[in-house]
Amino acid sequence: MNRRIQTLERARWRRGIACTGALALAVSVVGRAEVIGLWIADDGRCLARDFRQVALVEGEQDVEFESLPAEADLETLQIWAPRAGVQLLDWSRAMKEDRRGRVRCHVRSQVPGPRVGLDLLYAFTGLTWAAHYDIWIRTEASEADRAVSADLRGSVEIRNHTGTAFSNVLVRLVGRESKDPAAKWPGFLLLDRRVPLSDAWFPETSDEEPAYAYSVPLRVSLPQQAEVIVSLINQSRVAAVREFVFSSDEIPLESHDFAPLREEIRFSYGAGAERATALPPGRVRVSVGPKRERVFDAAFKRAMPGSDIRVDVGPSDAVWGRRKLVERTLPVAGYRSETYELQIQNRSDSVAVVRIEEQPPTAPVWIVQKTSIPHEERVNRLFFRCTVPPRGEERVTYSIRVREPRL
Amino acid sequence: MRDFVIKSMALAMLGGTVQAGEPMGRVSAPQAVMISAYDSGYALCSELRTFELGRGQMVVPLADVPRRMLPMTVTLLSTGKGRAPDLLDCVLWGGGEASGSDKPVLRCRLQTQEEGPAHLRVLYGAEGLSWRALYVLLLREGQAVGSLSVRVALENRLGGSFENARVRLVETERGEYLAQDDEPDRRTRRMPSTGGLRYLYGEAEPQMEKLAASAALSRTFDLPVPVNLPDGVTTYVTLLEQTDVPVARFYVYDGVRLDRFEKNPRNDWNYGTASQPLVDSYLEIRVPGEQASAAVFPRGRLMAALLRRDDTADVLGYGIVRSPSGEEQTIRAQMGPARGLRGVRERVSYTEVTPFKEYEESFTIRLDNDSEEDVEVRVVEHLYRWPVYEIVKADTEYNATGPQTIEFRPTIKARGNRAINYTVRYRW
Repeated sequence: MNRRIQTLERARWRRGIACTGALALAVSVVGRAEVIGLWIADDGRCLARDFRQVALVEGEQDVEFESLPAEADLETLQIWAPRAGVQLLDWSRAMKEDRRGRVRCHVRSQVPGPRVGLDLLYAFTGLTWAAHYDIWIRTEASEADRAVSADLRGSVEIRNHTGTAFSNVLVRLVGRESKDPAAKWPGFLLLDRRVPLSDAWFPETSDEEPAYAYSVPLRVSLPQQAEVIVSLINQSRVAAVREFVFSSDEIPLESHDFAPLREEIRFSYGAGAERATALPPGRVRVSVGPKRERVFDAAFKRAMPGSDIRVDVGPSDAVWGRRKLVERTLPVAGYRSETYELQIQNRSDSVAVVRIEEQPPTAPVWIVQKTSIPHEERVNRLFFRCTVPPRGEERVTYSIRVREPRL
Repeated sequence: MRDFVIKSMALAMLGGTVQAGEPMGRVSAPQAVMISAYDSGYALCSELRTFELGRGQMVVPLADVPRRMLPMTVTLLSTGKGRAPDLLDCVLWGGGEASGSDKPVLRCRLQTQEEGPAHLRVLYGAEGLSWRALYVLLLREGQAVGSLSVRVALENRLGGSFENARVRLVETERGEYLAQDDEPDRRTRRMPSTGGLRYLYGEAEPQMEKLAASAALSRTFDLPVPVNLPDGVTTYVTLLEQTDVPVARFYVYDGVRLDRFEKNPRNDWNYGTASQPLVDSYLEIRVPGEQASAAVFPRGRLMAALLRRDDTADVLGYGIVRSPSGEEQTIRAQMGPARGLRGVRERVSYTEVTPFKEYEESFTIRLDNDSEEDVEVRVVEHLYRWPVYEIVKADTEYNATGPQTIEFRPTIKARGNRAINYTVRYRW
């Protein structure tokens, strides 16, 4: 085990005695830094790794570093030089007027050299980033409702608020998911977090979401007090699939009228591409139609290469749906049976694929007895998938056995 | 000499309490300064001075004292066999516009029966010297060892400078609660004994009422070297630097989320069905006893960084180091949510096998790993409904780690995911 316990006490007492010894306090000034990499988090924390060369003598000496950002957290400063065995003993910002902005480091070197390479690592603040995307859902002019392809362009905007310039650096970004700004709809109230308004009943919880790291594919130069935009993705005419979402959160049971279903466009990101990287979350401007007739802003969730990107383009007038209670039996031994029907109308001239997310509007303990088409069940919800012919209709029914609530 | 006496008299007269003709003494500049720096911002200073005194009452001006010293705490101690002079009164003068001087002077009126030089230690308290410790751990990609650096930041806001001061760091219980805002995860913050919840102005939720936190010292650490503390400057000192320290990283997913409406775990079928997505990351740093004995481990923050193969560096997380334990000094810290890991805990079925006496509940825990390395996650499941339980089905091996707690340890491949399914049957 290679250990380097400091024997500082003796050395510093010697320094105290020979307080102004010329050798001990020889000052090397290191100006030019080659910043290798930057790490920028969405909470404002940054980390820089840079490389500098300095003339060192054997033993203790002072080194002054220039061009460290004023926002640097000097507590985190780390200096190492594996070949020279350099130890950082103590350090502070230089206070004299002519040295303002420099960082004075008292170091000990085991090996002298005119150009010893030093690695520096320090945390600082002052860099921010935000990703922006543009998605164009292309449709053919002859079939205005049908999505055929999608364009995706994305870039990240990095702002350097510090007085230090960084040139030709590798950048890693860290961020959490953007919050979905979609409005909540009123609905059936249960103590289940997936139900609208349920958050009013639950205590406020931490907004923390897992964070993810993203590499910027190109090296970046960041002038001081400037913003730089770096391209992340540019893919054109990717085949897209259109789906309609029948969600029980949005279609109330008691309504006799049909309600429009939400339309979702799905296309693949980076499948088969060698250099595709994970895309960070951000804001997206979506435009739909051959001439970009419909435009809206939304949140872009992070995307991994090979994953699907889903775009919610809002309620559609092409496909409509409603829910009905068909039958409810009287309770026997604390259980009753209920049957529901989900009716879907396709009013367009093309086939519609519908994804159904259904939460039975009843007491929370139930068991599925039968369904008219195959289903999946997850967390008190039923999931169906069906195809509705042009100008056609589809009815999905399911029966459940419900336990009577006991008060 | 004459100048000194004139200046001393002038200062004393400016102080306003000196009587005409009162004899003036001399005192040297401070030497052998020792400072106990409390984590609550209080500093206890001790310095050696040589006094030139005459018999009877005498006024002595002490220069080079900090502006934020507390005159009522001044004490004089003799370093030899003789008796220290009696301190009759003292006035802190200067350092303000009225004094016409930038530097403060402590004017002390002393009474002594002995004439001649006296070596005295002057003790006084002051406000404005704070310290904090930071542990920096550097890991290299793919390695299970790292380099550890422990450093202390001393921020001098006392209004005076010190040279070659020996510093003792003092931890108090009070300081621990003052530093709670540094805690990365509010779930793990510790509070002193509480009397209840109270609303604080400006807070949406009631807060735990703090009753007391002791200001007495709990641990002390001596800096290994004397340091210069210029006024208004933060000085950083390395306490320990060590390479090739064994480091273990592990992840814990405890997905259940309970809320205040869920009171009855046995009868409430909704109990424990809410989920949270965060996977917590932990670090264990083992500093062998031989090396650790030469170092100190004060309470502080920990920053862990990963040096990647492409020469960039990532922050792995921030944590709190409370105190190492055991013969092998092991530093454990929770580093907050793990990056690239997400969990979902879903209850997939709830069945009463025999009504009101027995039922089964099934769960699926899904873990996604979007990071670039395989990870083992400790999935903790609490069987909270009833002490009499039986795992009737599980597709992953598990261990019972507590009376009603089991733990799965699946490995999730990089860019992969994994699901764990199990069914528990309760009886009463």
